[in-house]
Amino acid sequence: MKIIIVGDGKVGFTLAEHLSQEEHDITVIDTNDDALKRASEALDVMCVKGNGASISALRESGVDTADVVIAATHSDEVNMICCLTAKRLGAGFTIARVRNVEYAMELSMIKKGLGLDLIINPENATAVEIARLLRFPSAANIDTFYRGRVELIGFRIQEDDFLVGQPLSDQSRLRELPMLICAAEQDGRVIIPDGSFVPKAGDRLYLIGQPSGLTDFFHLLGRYVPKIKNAFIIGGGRISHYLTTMLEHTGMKVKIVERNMERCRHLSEVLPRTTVICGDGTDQELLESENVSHTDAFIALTDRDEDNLIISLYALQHGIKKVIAKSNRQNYASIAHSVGLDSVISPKLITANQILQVVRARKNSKGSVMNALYRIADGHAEAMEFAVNETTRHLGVPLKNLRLKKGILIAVLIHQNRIIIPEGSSSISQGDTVIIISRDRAILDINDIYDELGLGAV
Amino acid sequence: MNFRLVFKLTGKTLMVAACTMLFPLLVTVYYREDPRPFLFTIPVILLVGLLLSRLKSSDHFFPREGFFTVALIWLLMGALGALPFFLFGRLYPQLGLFHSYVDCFFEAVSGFTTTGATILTAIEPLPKGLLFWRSFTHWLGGMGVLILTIALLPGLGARTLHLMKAESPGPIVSKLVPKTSQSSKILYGIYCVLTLLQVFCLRLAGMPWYDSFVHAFATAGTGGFSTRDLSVAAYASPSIEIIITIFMLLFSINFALYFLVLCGKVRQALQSDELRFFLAVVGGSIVLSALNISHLYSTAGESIRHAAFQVASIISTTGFASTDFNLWPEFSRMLLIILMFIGACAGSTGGGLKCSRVLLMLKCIHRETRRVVHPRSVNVVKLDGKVVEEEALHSVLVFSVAYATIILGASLLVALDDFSFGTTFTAVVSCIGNIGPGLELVGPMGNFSIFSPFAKIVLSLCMIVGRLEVLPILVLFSKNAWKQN
Repeated sequence: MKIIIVGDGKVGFTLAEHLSQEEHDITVIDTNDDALKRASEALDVMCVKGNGASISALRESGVDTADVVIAATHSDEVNMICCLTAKRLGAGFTIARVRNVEYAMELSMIKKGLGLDLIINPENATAVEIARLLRFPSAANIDTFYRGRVELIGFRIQEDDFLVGQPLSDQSRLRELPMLICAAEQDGRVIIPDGSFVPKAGDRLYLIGQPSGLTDFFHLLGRYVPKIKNAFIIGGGRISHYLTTMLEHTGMKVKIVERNMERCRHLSEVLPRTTVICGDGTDQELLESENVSHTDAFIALTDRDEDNLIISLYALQHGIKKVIAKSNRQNYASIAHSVGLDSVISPKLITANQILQVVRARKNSKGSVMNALYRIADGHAEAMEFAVNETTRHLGVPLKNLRLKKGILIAVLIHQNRIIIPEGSSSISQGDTVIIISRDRAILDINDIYDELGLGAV
Repeated sequence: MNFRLVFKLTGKTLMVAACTMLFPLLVTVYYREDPRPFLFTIPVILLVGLLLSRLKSSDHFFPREGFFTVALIWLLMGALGALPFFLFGRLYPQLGLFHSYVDCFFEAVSGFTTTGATILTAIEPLPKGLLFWRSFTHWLGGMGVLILTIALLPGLGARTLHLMKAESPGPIVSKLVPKTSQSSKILYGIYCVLTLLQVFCLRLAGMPWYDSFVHAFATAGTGGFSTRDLSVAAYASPSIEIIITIFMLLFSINFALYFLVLCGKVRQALQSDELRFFLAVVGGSIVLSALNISHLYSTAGESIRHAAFQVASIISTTGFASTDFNLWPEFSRMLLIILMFIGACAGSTGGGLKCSRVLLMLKCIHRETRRVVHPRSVNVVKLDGKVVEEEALHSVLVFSVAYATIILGASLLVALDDFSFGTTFTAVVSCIGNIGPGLELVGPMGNFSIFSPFAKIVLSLCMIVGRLEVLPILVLFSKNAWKQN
């Protein structure tokens, strides 16, 4: 597909990177030469210098034949005008990043008025993700499927867990739970585990199943973290604003530490039930005087990745049960995992995943419908939810008789509103929803998982 | 430096190169000639390529790896492309051709770099298959072997732009479409279509099929190897000369402009500053030299035809000759030397400094004079209505200085052979500019066999330096590039 990305910042670059790897034709528009140079050297994309909201720059990038236009400049207004212009010039699908909190309240109006097909708000999406993590604090990361009725969570195995050292087939207690271990990261490799898989301390496991089943699992493991009642947020940016609004609704007590007085005043004006403290969140004395060690959750959301990670480590040291750090840099996340900081959130990746899902769904508009797409294990594996329709092949065939491609797992079947962890005798029928885990392979349609050539691994 | 990846890419390119040798092999079989020179060479190159391409490597690929790969591939292509010549020389020693490996290397490098300088004293006794390979190297080298590899082999990675940048001529390299492999396919597509068009035109003008192909390859790559000792003059056909003149000019225009025309943006293509500059230089030179040589030919039409052919041949850096321009008056000869420096447009198959660089340099000179008059004025240099970055201007100036330095240095080394200034200097200029003939002893009717093996190696390196635009070869010989950190 032909995709134009306007704005070559953090999100723009990540999107260009992921989309160009999926064999799309990408054109990047930006006014900054250095950013364009970086993109043209590192990625297989075409770069156009210019203002992305101007007709000439859009024309030069071939907007009339573009399937998708994504506006992700730092200015909401430019993004909106860009999508408006692109749509008038004949672009197929337009996506704008809009993050101003005031606009966020009027999104449907803006969407309709400007002919926008999709509005992405990274800060809001990040806040939603953090709020989800706080509702289920035992997991390091959570993704939801089927309107929240199925969850995919990741967690790290510790030395003394009963799972360690035995193959999964010997764990009779696991089999009774309505959940499945669908992926594992071991020694830097991603594995789709079978019965012979032996978990080791330090591995990251991904479980999928109903929330109740997952809760039971953590009870069994003895690592269940009770409900979080209060949260401590460092940094009072947009994410904090969205997040606090959501947490206030659930009755959680929130404390925000923000350096800028002006911003503090604004926050205390719009968030009356929250304690806003003006000060440096990286100052340990301030944190101690606010009695940080007695809080249930600690969330570092300053605009510096490095600060977030360091103060999160400090919070971990103080024995806080749930610590979440924001970091846009992927390489920092893996360093953080290695020192025990499991929940690292990247707004950049969250946005990129949302857009990837839309682009994939549009590419495959004729086949089965993709409802959700998440990248897990640092992007080495993907979890997808599909609705089965008449284009899907091999319906009604028991799974044990199907030949699937290597690295593909059918993790969950939802048949007539019942959530089923599939067995060899289960089969897919029309109207079902299936959740598929894929390693190192982009799946656009359910039919992509069948190994119909009979060649085995390609 | 990620040597494993460099070698792996080199291996893949060599395999593609080995496959292209099947064409001359077919020609040999068709004309029932001795196929051994190719039958022995193809497996050797294929084996080397296969072994290298099996290497396992990480994906680290940065500009220095790109430059290094390109330099290495071009040196290897010269060395391995010389094998058919060398084997032929060994198999038929009675002909007295190609007996030293240096001669074969010179001929192969001259082919791939589209120079067209030869060490052969007589061309016509050579078999058709070998002559076909000689000008087929022009065709391959014109657009670039690596670009062919990028077009044919998928999955060389996202960073192939570094390779394309290092191999394509011109100060600013940009892609036609987002995907590098797609861009290379388009370039080769345009290249093939234009080449075939020329083959048919030449055939219609009365040239035999075989000669049409050989001359079309030599024109397309702006190389200049012919099948005749007298070059194009041997056919004594005005229509052939006119066709070749037109195609030489067509192949020295930036291929991106053809792509614009294909997209229907004819006006934008015609507004290119570089194209206008190129056409102005060509037109002016034709008029001036036609006036200057009018007393040598009987009619005005004939002098214009010869002037146009020679001017097109030199500025496109092809190096065909329709007449011995070494006998022309001094003014025209000087004019041709200046055209040798200017060269073709960026993004074409031609060599030289490139029109866009010359144009940018002239604009820089203009800007500096303005700055003297208005010391605090701010001026930007524009090309095609777009501002040229100071960094790009800087690299143009550095390139020109490096080019001049290498010419002077190489002239000093070649001067050890004790030929006249005209011979020595024009030999170096024509090699680094990938033209072929120079003046005096290396003029259109002369050849490079007079030089010592040492001078031949220096000149061969000059050709590669000129084709790859200086930097890749300098990187290959720089101590820093070889260090691991």
